[in-house]
Amino acid sequence: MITIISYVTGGLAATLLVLMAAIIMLNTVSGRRIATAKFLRSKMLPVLQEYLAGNAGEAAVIQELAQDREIALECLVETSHSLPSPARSRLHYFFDYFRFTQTLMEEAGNKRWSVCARAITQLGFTGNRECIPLLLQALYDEMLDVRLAAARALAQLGAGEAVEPILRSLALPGNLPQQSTAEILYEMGQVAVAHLLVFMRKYHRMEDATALAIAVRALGLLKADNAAPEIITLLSHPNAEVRLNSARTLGHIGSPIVIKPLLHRLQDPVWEVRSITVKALGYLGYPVAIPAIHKALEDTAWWVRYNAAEALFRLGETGISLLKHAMVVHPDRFARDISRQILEEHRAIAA
Amino acid sequence: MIIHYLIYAIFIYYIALHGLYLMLIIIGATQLRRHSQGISYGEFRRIADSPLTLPITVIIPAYNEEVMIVNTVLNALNLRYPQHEVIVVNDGSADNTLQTLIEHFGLRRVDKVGQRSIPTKEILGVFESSRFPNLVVVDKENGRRADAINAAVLYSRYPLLCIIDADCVVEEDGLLHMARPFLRDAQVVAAGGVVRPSNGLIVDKGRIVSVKLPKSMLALNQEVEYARSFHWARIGLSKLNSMLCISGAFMLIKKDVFVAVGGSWSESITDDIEFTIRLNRYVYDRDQPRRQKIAYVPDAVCYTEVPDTIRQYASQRNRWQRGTFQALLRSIGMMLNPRYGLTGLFGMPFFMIFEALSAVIETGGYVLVVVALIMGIATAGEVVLFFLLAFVLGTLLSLAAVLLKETTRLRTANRSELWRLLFAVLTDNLFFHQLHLLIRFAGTFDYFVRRRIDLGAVMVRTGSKPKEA
Repeated sequence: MITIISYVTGGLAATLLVLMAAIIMLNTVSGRRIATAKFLRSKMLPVLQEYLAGNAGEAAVIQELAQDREIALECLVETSHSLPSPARSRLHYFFDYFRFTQTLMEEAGNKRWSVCARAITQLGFTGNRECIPLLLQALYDEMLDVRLAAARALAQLGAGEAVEPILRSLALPGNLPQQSTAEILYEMGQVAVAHLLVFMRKYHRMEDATALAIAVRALGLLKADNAAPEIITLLSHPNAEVRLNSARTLGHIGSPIVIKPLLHRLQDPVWEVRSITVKALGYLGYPVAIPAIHKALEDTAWWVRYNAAEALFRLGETGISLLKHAMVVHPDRFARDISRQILEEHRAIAA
Repeated sequence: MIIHYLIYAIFIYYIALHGLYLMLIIIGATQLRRHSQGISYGEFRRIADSPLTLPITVIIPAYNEEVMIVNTVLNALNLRYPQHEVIVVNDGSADNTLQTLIEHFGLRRVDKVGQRSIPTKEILGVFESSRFPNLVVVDKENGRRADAINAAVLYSRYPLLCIIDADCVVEEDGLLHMARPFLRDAQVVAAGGVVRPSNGLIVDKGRIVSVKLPKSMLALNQEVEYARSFHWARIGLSKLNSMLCISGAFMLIKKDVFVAVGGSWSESITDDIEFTIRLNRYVYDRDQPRRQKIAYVPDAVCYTEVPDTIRQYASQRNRWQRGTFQALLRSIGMMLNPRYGLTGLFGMPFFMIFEALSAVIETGGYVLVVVALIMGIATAGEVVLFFLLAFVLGTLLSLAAVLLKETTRLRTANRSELWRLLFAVLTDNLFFHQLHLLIRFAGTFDYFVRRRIDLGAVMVRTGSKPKEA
């Protein structure tokens, strides 16, 4: 027994030494790799900026980027990412010159999802529409990250036909998929609006309404005025998430025709919907909504009261006078408290 | 004869302990790799730029923190996040914590209304700043840290609560990293991040200027200990639904879940351990109508001051040991209870046997070996072999943590720091581990025999770390 333990201890001690050597080696190698990457990036990123500013030619950029393909691709993607979408096209030439699209399309078929997701993400910056079929296919990958990357790339390429597949593949519970999907569609820009409207008309009665809720939210982000009449009908949808997003979107769109339907939503049984509705009414800023917002000061939910008081404050002098009045004489204690709080927060009264 | 059996039992305990640790290292390494590969390009920037990201309330309970509080609050206010507020609770400090805050941030008293009622000690006043609209300071009668956290929740507006210590410095992107699992997965209700000693940190007006290793040997050894705890133990335990301690120094939780669990327990000795165990009970209860998860975020980093005198170290670890027993015994119904799945069947027994009781068992092992030597049951060579095995096994675990750390962005920046860290790994099992065992043994004695439930000596902040550059 003791002999066995001695051998085990000896073996473990040897492992310990090997592990120490491995740590030192790893630290050295990664230290060098980081230093090299830092050096090359310090050369490539400025020359790309110079090119965008018109102070350097294509040849100068190619000369720098040719030093290391991997870092060149990273720098191109990073620079593209920092630019607004229309300006990114100026860098597409270099993606083509170094044949990055082909390389990335091959990598997108890799069995390792992380490699695949990274390649797909980068494809979005190449501006090459040849990869759209591949990206549409990737929307059905089993990994959410791959699907999100594909959706983002499609949005960057302005592929309007991808709107419905994107909504179908990413309509999942969880904030990030929903938030990301709405933002991806927003990034796609006005090209997405028509497709979103078609989707909304087609599926406005669907039971699993997550995709519908996202579509409504994206229309709000895109400030699609022409969608208002149809979104108004969704204010009475059986799904609370759809009602909530509809109220929020109508607040973003800002047309006077939405006031009356929104006022009705203040009676919604779900407090989150009431809260967003009162907030939307505050953003819209039409005095006709003041009595209803004032009434919401005595809502049972704190957030509704808070947003009602904020909305009144936002409405200007009339709203502020009402808050000052409510702070003193409102029969509801909670309405008095919240009115005082908002006035104090905005320093409209002395603390 | 009995001694023989006891020695065998302790030997089996060692083998089981290290076998489980090896399993956790493997799981931890896999999870760490998965996590870093899962971060897509520009993901944190998108979260930071998005108006749809869930807003966060950062809660800082403070008791006698006049030396550190300004830096901590500035750090919290400077965090990169689309929408967050900072609530500092002055928990009846005997020093000038409140006055320091009032003067530095230009606070004025307001008549603020809370939204929920978790019972707390009396609130004496609420203050806001005209210069920092997202800063709220709550002044209250002294309770414990848990009571201060509960008071902050009354005034929080946002759906996520991030609880940090009053001496903590969070990395600028820390909140973005912590929020990511909540955004990706609706089932995630709480998350813990990485905590590292701040004793070598240089901070300027709440911003981290440079990260170095602590200078004192005691603090350096705690760096190794924290690396073990955060680079494989927690990430592995989290995968097994058995992370029964989210450090109170850096925790993010959904407010509705915090309230549903009943808030922090103000009588707890270590509120974070007690709360995490209760949270696990709530989250992994099979009777829960919806599936929920607790996540561990290996790249969200916060720095906290660790004791660098033996006296303060002993006081802190004694309290942690007492707090662990108090928390475990309070939720003893979870132990080996299949209703709580892996948490009940693995996490609770693991935490009891290999964490809480390890001080007693390991100390017993050392004593037994000496007794066996005196009684002639074991030879000097066998005793040396026993200590050598214990040393090698312990050092291997620490090295595994350093190796995992080196594969992340938290790697040691220069060679001399790496040598110092490796030196600390080697010395850890020669003196500090044994010292730690003795302190925890005393903590066990204090809890069960002396019935101590006090918080021990308050840690004296030196103010030199983190410091103004």
